[in-house]
Amino acid sequence: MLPLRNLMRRKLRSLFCLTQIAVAIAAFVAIVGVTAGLRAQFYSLSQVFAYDIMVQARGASSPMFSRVTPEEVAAIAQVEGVKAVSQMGFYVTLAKGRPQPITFLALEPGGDLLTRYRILKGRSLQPGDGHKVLIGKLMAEQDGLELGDQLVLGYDGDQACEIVGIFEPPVEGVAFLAGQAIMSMEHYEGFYNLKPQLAVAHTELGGRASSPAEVKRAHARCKEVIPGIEAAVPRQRARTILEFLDSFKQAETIDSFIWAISLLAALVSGIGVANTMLMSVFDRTREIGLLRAIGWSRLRIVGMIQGEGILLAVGGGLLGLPLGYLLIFLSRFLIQHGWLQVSLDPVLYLMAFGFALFVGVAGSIYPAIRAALLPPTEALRYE
Amino acid sequence: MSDVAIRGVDLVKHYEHGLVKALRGVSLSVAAGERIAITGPSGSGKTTLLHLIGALDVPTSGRVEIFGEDVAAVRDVNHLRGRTLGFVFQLHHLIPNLRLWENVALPAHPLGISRRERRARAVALLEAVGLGARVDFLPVKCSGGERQRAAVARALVNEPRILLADEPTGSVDRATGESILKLFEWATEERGVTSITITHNPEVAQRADRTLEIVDGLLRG
Repeated sequence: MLPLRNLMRRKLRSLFCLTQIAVAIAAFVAIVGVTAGLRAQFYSLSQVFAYDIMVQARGASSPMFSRVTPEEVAAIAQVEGVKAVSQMGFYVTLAKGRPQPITFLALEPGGDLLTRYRILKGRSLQPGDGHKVLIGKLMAEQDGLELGDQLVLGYDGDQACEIVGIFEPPVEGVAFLAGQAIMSMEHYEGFYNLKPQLAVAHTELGGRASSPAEVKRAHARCKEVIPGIEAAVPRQRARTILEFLDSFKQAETIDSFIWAISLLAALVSGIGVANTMLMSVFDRTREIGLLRAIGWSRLRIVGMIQGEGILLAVGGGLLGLPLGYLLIFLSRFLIQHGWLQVSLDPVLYLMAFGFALFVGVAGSIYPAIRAALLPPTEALRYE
Repeated sequence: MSDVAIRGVDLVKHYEHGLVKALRGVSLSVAAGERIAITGPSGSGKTTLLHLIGALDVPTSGRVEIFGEDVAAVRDVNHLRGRTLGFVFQLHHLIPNLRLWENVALPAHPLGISRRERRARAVALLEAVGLGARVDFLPVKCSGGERQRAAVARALVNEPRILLADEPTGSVDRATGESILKLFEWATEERGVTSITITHNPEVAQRADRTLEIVDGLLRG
């Protein structure tokens, strides 16, 4: 195994190069794992809200800047294909004794959206529930909150709300939903003087798609209803859940992020491999000249150098995978307090190894070609 | 089969865009099984000539024939170098992380021979050159003479028909040089190998069948 023994001749140099690849693989695994987790969350959302149409004010750059009036909600409810309409509001506020802000959803008690939240403890919200809230199970676990506890909200900590229920969100595995809280639309409008920001038109009550194919079918069905909604409420723009999620440009952002970081990592580690292999080729110029003189073809020389690059890559991959998991573990439990969802499926292993092999092959191409093109007479004279 | 092992026809070799004229029209003919010594002062073109004969370099003009075949027309020059020719250089050029037998077996790699067969061939040759006890040694554990003898074994591992040597005794002591020359004689006598040896040493030249002198890129005598 000549490539392996060549690498062993310069153990420290090879180890540094291997470590460089391992760090790139670790970064790749961590980033892809986290972003795949985000994608999985987005897919879950698209399943749960497959039969829903999001109605948001035209020109509003995000739901936070949208507003929908009671008249518009009533008009949407009359559109053919719409079985019910829910209103939704968002409110982000600080809570006393909690470092990060809480995201509140304002929903109508008894409405289709609220009924999708499974109550694990206590009860759901009811009409007339002022200063009463539901919290997600993740928030309850992390903050040690229980039924009957008070959440003291507001920048001055002057608004106390009683926890009457702990819920599990409709989308399993989406940590940020389990970390949210819910208040009644009545309290949202009455106490905070805020208005509903989104209307959600349900083409199916409690409908949920069970497969990607059904998500597509539901999407097509919602698309048929959308023209009627937009005609009824011209100030509003109606979109399916897939279009709504796309409007955040999350998918493109995630893809761009993965590619940018992966390419950067590949570039850096590829340069590392190229540097190591090039130094190795310089060191062994006379040896390479000799091999050419005794009948080794250029292709065989390329194979030898590429073999060394691939071995470094495989070693880096083997070291980088556990390192990547360690990074994910640290980021999940130290930085994001368990809110970060990570997808670690076997495809990720293959992708990481593919990435490592790419780095090994690409990084050793130039040194291999350089070695192969060395004229044997010059190589033998090389000092 | 041609009785002429090597024929060089009007070989010219220029370097540096013609500024250096290493060979200025050399023609030679070496019969199969013949032992030739090439002498001449430093910079006269001896090594250049050897490289052209050994298909390690191409002439600016002229041609080299190996057993009647024009080297320029050979499709697989690597095969020619690996099978028909054997090289011994002034420095042994052994690969330091390979054991002696692995170094000796290196030319057999491209021939697709199994590891077992490569080792058998290498061990047999190492025994023939008196290094049977050093088969699994790394070069660093061997003396200079032993390394050079291993280099001769490496040149012979594919049973070449022509042995080309560039100052093979130039970097070893007299006794080692003598043992290497005896190896050359053994190869030519026992195996019918044609040899061309470049040397500065008159004693080495005297043991050849014929000596050619090269001066300023031209053959004399």
